Amino acid sequence: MSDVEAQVLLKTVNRLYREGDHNRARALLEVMSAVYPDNPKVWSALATVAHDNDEMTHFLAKAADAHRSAE
Amino acid sequence: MAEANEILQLGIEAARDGNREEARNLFTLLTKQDPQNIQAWLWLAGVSDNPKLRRDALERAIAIDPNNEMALRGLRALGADRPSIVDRGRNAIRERTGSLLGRPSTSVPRASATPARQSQPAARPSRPAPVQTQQSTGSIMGEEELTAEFDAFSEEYDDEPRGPTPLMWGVLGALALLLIVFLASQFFGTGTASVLPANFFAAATPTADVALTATALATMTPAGPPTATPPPVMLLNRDATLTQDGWEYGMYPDPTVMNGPISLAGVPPKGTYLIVLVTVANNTGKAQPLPANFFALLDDQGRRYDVNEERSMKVYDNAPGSASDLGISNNVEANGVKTSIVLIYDVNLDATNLRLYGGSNLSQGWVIIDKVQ
Repeated sequence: MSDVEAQVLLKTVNRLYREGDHNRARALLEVMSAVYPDNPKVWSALATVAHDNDEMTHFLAKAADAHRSAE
Repeated sequence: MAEANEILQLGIEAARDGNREEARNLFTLLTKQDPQNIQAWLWLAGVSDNPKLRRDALERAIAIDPNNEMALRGLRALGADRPSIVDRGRNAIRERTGSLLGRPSTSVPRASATPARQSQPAARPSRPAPVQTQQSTGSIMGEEELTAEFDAFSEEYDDEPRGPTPLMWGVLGALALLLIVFLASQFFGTGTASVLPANFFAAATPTADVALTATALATMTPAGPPTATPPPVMLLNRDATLTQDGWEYGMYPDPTVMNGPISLAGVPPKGTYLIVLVTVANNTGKAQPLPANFFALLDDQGRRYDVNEERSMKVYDNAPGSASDLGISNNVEANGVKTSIVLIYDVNLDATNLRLYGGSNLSQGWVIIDKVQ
């Protein structure tokens, strides 16, 4: 995904989140993470909609991995 | 897949609200996730402003279902005749899916045959229209509705002039003239409009490995009332690092910044948690944790936020070494190696222009996030 596309989609995620539509925000992020697993921002955003601490840690770890692989 | 249907629905809603760019991105995402999702291709064609992209999307739809009425109709609207359409579809099949020729169509089953539509009203894709909920067939929309959308799409495209009209040339010329006048006033005028912002070059200049010889070692002031005049700030690039008291510090490249009113370890935030990854390297000669409140956030409202050590450690302790190399309270080896540390802040929801500072240096920092909400 280009950064531009990712940014636009993450704005959509933020909008959904602000509107309280957490389920669709998460659905969008899950698909984004499947299509673009190397984008750390997607994983980071997923961490914000995690259901519990374990899940959040998992997403943070994926974000960190994506960061490292990008270096 | 439930997520795919949610996104298709989101894209349709965005298209109807007139948010074509958002819709395009959503449909594009879907086609990347599932290249056989014919509805995603059809909708992508419907919201594409570029005729070539429309054609490509429709050809992909034809590749999936050579008899898809809406794709055929869309391609006809773009000027293709039936044989060439079929050829394109076959070529697309060969090019993109290899040996799909002769296989049954993989498109979603249709609930009903497409009704003949002799004179569909010119409804634009953005018009409000009821959307069927997901059917057991896997179809999100009714066939009739999709057909109507493509009729609208076709008519819209057919109405588009193929090149600039004389009137358009005139308007373009006027705009170009205005642009030239504006640029000339910027270069030759004496008004203040041409003055660059004070931080313009500071923000744009590469500042990697900036070393500070800071001598002001006073600790940061605790949270207090908003300051009347925030200090001038040099905003740093993400890869810049600073040093102070033997500590080299910086933001994690392409920072991991998150926000959301989620609870951490069962504790909800007062505002919202902000999670920031930083890097530090200990050159003090002694293994030790970072000094207390080494990193702080400031917002445009003049508020200062110190790291929530307890929450930060809980996030780290949940999977040590996973989210970051170390926790905020852990000893950092004095080996000069960059080490990531996860920091949790609880920031106000109305905070804007949050900036990260390290040590006692309030004159240089990194913009973390423009606004929380």
